[in-house]
Amino acid sequence: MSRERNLAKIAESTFSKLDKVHSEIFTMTYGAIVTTLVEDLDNVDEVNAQLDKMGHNIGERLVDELLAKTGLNPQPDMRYVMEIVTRVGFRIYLGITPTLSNWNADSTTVTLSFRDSALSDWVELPHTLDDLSYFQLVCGVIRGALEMLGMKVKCTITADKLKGAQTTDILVELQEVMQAKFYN
Amino acid sequence: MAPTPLAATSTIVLHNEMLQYTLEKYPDSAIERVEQMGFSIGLRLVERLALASTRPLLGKANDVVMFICKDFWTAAFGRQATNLRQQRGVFYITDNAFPWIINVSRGGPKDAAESTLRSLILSFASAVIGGALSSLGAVGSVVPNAHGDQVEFTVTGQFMA
Amino acid sequence: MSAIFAVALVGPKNSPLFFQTFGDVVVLNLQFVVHAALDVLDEKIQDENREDRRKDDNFLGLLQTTDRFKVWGYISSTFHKILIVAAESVHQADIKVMMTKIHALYVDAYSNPFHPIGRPIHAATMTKEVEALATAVVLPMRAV
Repeated sequence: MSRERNLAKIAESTFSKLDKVHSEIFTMTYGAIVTTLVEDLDNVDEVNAQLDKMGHNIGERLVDELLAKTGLNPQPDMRYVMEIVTRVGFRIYLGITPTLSNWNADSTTVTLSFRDSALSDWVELPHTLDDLSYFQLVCGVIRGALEMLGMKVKCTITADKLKGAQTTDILVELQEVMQAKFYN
Repeated sequence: MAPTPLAATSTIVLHNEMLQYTLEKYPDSAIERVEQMGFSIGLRLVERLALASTRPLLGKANDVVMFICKDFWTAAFGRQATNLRQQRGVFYITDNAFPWIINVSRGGPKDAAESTLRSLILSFASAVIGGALSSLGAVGSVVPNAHGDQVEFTVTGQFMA
Repeated sequence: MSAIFAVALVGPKNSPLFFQTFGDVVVLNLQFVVHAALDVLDEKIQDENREDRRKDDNFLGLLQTTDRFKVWGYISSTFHKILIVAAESVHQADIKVMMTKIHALYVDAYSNPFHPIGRPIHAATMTKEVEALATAVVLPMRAV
């Protein structure tokens, strides 16, 4: 069985065993967090930084649970790890399966794209918040998750659906392979 | 995108980040802040839920509370409330394994931080329920009472009908 | 002539949330019409509360009728009210469909975390979509 189909199967079987809730509560909670941060903090860069930080913590915790529930134990192989993050992780925790494209020759950079996500349902960004990166949390999640799996990455949002793009694209670039926290 | 089922963990973990951030940055007004967020969430959630029903509740106390225990509880917490009791116009809604606190420890002498977190989550949850009730025409208070994972919410209020 | 003259959405305390007119109409007159129809709507819900509840529906039916227009009403469980002022010959079925769609539109606007609850809805999407709904309603042809 191909690795993709295997992961898809693992995603479905893991998902079926977990407690579930409909995404609205998640969407609304994230919305409340973002709008509160916008009110509290002086500038939008601080909001983006805070969302990234929260995402990082969330990524670490979710990967912890993900590995425990799936029994997966991946080596720091960027391709495989990104497949796990997208086909299993994002599917279970965000209800979406992003596509991975534009892998470079040595598999150290890739673009993750998605159209819809539970985070952004019904969200319309006001024009006064052009620099707000609503999806910054996702960048943090990817960074946190991959760090737990032994890879330090940099994430950059290169296209944002809330700002008119067709899809939201995140460029993920490997910076360093290190001792996975998970193994410690 | 149509609402889709997610692992309940996502929401729990998101709450955790929000609560920790609030506690760190605003230790003296944490409760008010999470209540404010919770109320808004409850209100907006109910607007979506009320869309699915074809019969307006029109503020009738029993209908509203049933809706809260079933439709709303499922949307907010992932399951229906376990028990509903009414006494002299006050409603007592019980969830015997309240999903939002299940993984937060009971709190003992060494767990002061977790105990604070627990009570903050309960304030947050009560505000979400309060926002829901408010949008259905009820004005009043929601007070949580927890014993381990079981929580009883006392709903005192004035309903439209 | 347009089939739909005005669409209004008001909040729980009859706070104005959305108001749009279509075609060559006198806006002020329509605001007055909607205002008066709201009183009729409020009376109607009070009645419904005392009667047998089995028949009730979000759609409240006809609120007012004149030889030039009809006013239709709708209420949600959250006490949001939708009023449509339409040409007298427009079918109830078309109005009912429109009401349900407008309900969905305002709920979507409310689901936007950047929209402050209770304030008038200025979402570009809502204005555009309501206009599309209004212009899609066809004036029934009269039998020759």
